[in-house]
Amino acid sequence: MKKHLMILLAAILSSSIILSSCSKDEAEAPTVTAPTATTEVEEGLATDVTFSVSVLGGYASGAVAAQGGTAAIKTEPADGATSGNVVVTFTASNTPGAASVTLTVTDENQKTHNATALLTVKEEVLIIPVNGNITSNTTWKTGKTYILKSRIAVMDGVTLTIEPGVVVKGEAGNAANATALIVAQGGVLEASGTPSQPIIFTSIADNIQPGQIESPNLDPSLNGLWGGLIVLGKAPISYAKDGVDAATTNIEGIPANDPNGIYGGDVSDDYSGTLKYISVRHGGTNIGEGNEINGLTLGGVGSATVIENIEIVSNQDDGIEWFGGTVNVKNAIVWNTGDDAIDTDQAWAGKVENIVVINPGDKCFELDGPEGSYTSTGHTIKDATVFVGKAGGLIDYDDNTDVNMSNIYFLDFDSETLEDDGIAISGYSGYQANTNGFASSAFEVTVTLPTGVALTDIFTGGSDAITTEVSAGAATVGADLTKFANWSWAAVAGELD
Amino acid sequence: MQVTKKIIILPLLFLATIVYSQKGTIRGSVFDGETGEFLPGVTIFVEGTTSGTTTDLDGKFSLDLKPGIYKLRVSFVSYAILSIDNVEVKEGEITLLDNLKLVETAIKLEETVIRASVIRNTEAALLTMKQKSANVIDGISAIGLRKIGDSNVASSVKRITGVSVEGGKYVYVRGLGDRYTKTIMNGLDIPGLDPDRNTIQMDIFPTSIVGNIVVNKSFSADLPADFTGGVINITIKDFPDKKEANFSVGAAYNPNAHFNNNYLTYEGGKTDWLGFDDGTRDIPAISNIPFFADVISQSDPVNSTYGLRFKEILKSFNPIMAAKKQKSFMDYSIGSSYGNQFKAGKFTLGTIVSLSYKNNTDFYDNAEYGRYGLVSGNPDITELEKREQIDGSYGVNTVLWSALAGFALKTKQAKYRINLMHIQNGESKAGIFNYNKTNLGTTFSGFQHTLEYTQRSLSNILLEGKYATPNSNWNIEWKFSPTFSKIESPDVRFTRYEDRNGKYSIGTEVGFPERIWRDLEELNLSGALHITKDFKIKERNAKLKFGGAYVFKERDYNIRSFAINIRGDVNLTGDPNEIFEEGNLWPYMGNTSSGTTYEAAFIPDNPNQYNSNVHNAAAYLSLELNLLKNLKMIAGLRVENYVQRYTGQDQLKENVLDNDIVLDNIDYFPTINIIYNVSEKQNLRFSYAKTIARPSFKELSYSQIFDPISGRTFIGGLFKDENLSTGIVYWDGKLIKTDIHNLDIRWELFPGAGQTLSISGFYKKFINPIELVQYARVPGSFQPRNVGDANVYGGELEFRQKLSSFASFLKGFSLNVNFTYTKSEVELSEIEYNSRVGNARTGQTIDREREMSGLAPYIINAGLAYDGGKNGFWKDLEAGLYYNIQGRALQYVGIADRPDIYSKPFHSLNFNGSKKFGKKSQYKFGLKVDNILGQEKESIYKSFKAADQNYSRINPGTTVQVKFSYSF
Repeated sequence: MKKHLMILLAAILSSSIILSSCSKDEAEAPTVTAPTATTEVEEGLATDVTFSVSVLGGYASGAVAAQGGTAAIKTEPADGATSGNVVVTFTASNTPGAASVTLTVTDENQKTHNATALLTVKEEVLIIPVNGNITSNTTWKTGKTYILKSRIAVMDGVTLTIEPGVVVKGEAGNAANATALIVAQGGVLEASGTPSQPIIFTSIADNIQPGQIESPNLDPSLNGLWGGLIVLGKAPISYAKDGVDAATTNIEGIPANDPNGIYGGDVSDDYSGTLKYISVRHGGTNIGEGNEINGLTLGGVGSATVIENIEIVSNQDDGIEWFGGTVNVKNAIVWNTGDDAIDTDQAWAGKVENIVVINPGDKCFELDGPEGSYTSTGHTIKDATVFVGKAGGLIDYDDNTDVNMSNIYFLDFDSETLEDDGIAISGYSGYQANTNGFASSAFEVTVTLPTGVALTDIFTGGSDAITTEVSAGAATVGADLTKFANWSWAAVAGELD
Repeated sequence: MQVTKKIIILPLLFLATIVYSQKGTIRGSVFDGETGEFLPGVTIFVEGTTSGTTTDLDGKFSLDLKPGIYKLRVSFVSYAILSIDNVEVKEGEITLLDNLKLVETAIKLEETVIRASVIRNTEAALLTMKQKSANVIDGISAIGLRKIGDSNVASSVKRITGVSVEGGKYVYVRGLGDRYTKTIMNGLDIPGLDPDRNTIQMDIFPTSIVGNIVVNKSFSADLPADFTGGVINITIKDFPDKKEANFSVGAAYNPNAHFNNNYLTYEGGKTDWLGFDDGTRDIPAISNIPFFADVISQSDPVNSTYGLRFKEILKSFNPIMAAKKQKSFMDYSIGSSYGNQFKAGKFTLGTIVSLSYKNNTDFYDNAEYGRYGLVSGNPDITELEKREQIDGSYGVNTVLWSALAGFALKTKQAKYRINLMHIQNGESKAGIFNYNKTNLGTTFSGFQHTLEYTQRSLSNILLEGKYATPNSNWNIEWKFSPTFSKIESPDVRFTRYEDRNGKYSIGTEVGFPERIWRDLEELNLSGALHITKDFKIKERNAKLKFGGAYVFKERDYNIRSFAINIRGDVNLTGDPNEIFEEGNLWPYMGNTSSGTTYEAAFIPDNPNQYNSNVHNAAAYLSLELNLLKNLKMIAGLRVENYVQRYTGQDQLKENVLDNDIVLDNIDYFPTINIIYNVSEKQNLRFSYAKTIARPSFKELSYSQIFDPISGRTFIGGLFKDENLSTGIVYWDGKLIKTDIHNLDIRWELFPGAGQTLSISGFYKKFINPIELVQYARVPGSFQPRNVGDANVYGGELEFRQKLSSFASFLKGFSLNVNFTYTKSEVELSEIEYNSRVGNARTGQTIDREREMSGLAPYIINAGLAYDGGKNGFWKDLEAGLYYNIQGRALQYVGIADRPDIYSKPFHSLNFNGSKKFGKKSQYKFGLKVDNILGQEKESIYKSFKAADQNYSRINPGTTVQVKFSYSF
């Protein structure tokens, strides 16, 4: 109804313009119309206000004045135009309350008219829902909390910048309703936290506020409360489909019929962004069919991508899992996963250095090789300290695992698990027999063996040959734990002491 | 509620109308020897009396006479007069003269008399109908059903040529699966009880209520067009010829399944024995369901509103998750039916009431389900690699009851009928299986318990009217039938433990426990109008038939599931009942991070919820002409306007449909049937028709339905399958109809006395057939897609022979053999072809074609029957040995590294015998042995130069059934 009225009005208006335009000189004074609705703007932020103008004498100039903020003309009609819009950018002050913008238009006959648009400056919104895929460059601001309402993808060609200290919370939901942040192929995530202001990805259940490290209410063993962080790139993967090498495939953890789950390609130095000082917690929910999301999933992520200082706490599935790609990761700590802590697949050709693993649900390292005929230079795992706890295994090698592994220190075994014969390295002999030059070396272990259990029962398949028993505090290999001090929850909670 | 009221009132009504008489009654029917159709208006005259009558619009008559011996004259204009001697009428009894055949005669002036003694009721009418019908039909009559002694339609129908029954329930005609086979009841659409099927399961119809079953293998314009293998019409009795009251009890014993201490079950509700759940399996909540994350975000999680509600919901889950061993009972059944017809002035009233109940217990020991694949990356390795194996046992208890009340009224020119039917079925399953999975070199092993319950119900009302003009040139028939059906699977429970050296855990590697509720409701309104006009062209009979039909169907579908997690320090012992043990529920020992929790998967959005509806309006015109004396032709055209709508959404809500059209076609279905009488006993037939197969509600949806037992996921056909970065579209999400061209030829020989020999050939061309295609990226996911065009060729041979003609000691024996052979070719789609080439093993060649999925290459039915006759030592003894086999059929089409799955032939050998006792043969004792050979049902993976591997294997065992019935 309203729309029809507007059209009618516009028709009358335009016909009157046509009728009267023949006599421009003695034209009526211009008319400025302000928006009827009150525009709302958050304190300190800018918004656009659009005035429509009718200038029978020809548009000459406009001037703005503002209350409760500042205003500037963004766009205006061409000189001499008889009608059009003037868009004014209003930047709110830091005081919530009423505000206004007044636009004065002058025509070529120096006749003027003005109108005032009303605005309300609102208090800063600290909790912001994210409802749909990110399709244009976006910045998530320091001090704020962003709520993922569903599976959110940063689309191809789009950059999401997350400032230090931001907290991202995934809404509760299972299966189709599971929430996650996906950086799709071609999307970029610029998330550089700092040691004092890490970026935290957690569940809506977490009452953590920007600036906090430890959750005020959640136990570090709680998992599966939301999805996880998935980064997908265009670097090579070793995957075979239909027996033929396939350059791309769909990532696990999101349904195969979601096109934003594609990863893999031929861009070795692909860039998916920067991830620094990030803690991902309580994730890994089931999306159905036994398909869970890892804490940090890296699918075909290229070597130009920077990933450093990453913490995963209590993920229902794996901690960090690489599916091919060429990205390097430095300083990673994985605490209390439901499944494996560190998981590699599809001929990942990168390096992860300085790793801490604490009490995983299954394997500490689940290491696989190529799945297709493409092989890479393999990956490197170096300088790790593993607090074994109740883990279901130390390292699971396959015959074609393409890893070079060195300087790994295992300690803090659970005595009951040892008695039950429940923890060991598996597949070592098959892996060691490889002819591609992959090798593991310099393992150290501090363990009190129960009666009837020998070191070779744990370090099986000949892996005892690369393992040295050391007494507590005498290890010469392992991670530099100081890299995790202050910013990681595990360190703050005393797990590294 | 209204339905039950009527069921009670109807029999009462009839008690009042019974009139006691000193007379006896002759009842019978007369049919046209030319067409096999029943003849109205035929005069029946009792010689030497003034008594006489004419047949009604169904060709039936009834005469009340004093006891004595009579001679009847049956006459009709331009037909030879039939004279029947020695018709005995006894006081208070009914003498049946069913299926009297009148033959048309060219000689008009002289009276031609054909003499016949009293004819025993055989399948004569149906055989004549088959012989004379312009369509290619096969069937089985009420008498045939009674003779074979099957208890339900599923066991009977497979004795019909070219028919086989899958899983004891679903009918295949000419080896074509249920997508191409249609079941109608009383000539109208009826919804299936299974959402995954296009046809209704056949084992729900007790044979006592069935008039006849006719299988049309060729299309005529008055039939619905959505079939190609065949349309099976189950007609429910209306006017029983005489009073039929029957009570029967039966019991069956299977050494595998019965009185077995290892039988698996779980505690259900108090009304499970009635085929529905009493609320024991109700969903704890469908709204106001807090997530665990909502709860623990509270400052006092345990006592917060969310926390209290969370605990309340947890506690209202039925705590049983484990299957338990319990001694099983045997199968038993009880049934009763009553039917009669009465005369009340000008009116004939017919009634039929039937109640049947059956309770079956099956136990499958050492059942096996496997998942195998081709080794990727090394084509030299031909042997399949094992990826997952599930083996164990499960028990199934099935309850099926049906109630039917029918009431019909007719005059000579009009007939009305109302029929009410309710079928209720409940199936409770419990199983324990070992589980092994291999994923990229890592092996997990454990065990699982699954508990399932499914209840199905179907309520149907049929209203029917039929009118014939006095000179019977015009015939009008209308039908209207609403059906309401419901399928619920309340509380499917699934628990899987991982076994790590004797330590039990529940986690992501083997999947979390699940509890699932599935609901389906369907309303089906179906109506039809048929108008027939008989006339003559050049002294030859001709018939014009036209009419219309309308079907409206609406379905609501919904799956709600809860994922269950057992968190923290709870020590697991491997007994699934520990999961919902009160002490283990969240918060375990007061710890808010520990204990059993749930996550509702259907909140806030449920992609597995949809509503679909269909409007199908049809009109047709059909003309039957005798072109030459020996050449009859029926040509017709049917038009159907089919509109299917869908309301639902995909997972990401990117596609939300709100009653949007997903299928809208106007199709024309021409048909021509020609029959040439080579001689009186020999026919040659030809037919061509175009028919259709349409995607089902479920196939045209965005649903993703996971079956926790098989681990397979069904993906709705509306989903696209594309790779955005490469731009390759594997499937465009546009599922369309399949057009089918059918050609049939048949040669038949009827040497007489119920003997038949026929040979048929058929050809079918499928344009855009739909098949379930495995999703390449996700193991065990299937999507319906239009694949390449297909051709099916086949032949049928049927042979019925009385063996007395070979040797006199074989008197009473008859042999019935039919054999169907089919060959199919589906042109491979580019995706499938590339996939097969990519996965080919060294030395394997890949063809551009393959066989059609779901099509059995051959079917053999053979039966040796003995009929002891009415006199002598073997009086009233009937026995038969029946053999059935269906050739190896492609069950699931392979893709990528997943090979094709075939069902293995199952040699089914059954014995059936019955003997009547008593003065009036009122007692009957029956014996039945199923699966005498003790065969196993198996499906296998087949691949080039590889040993076959099991996809599924179950052992149904041999069942011995005894049945006793009393007629009064």
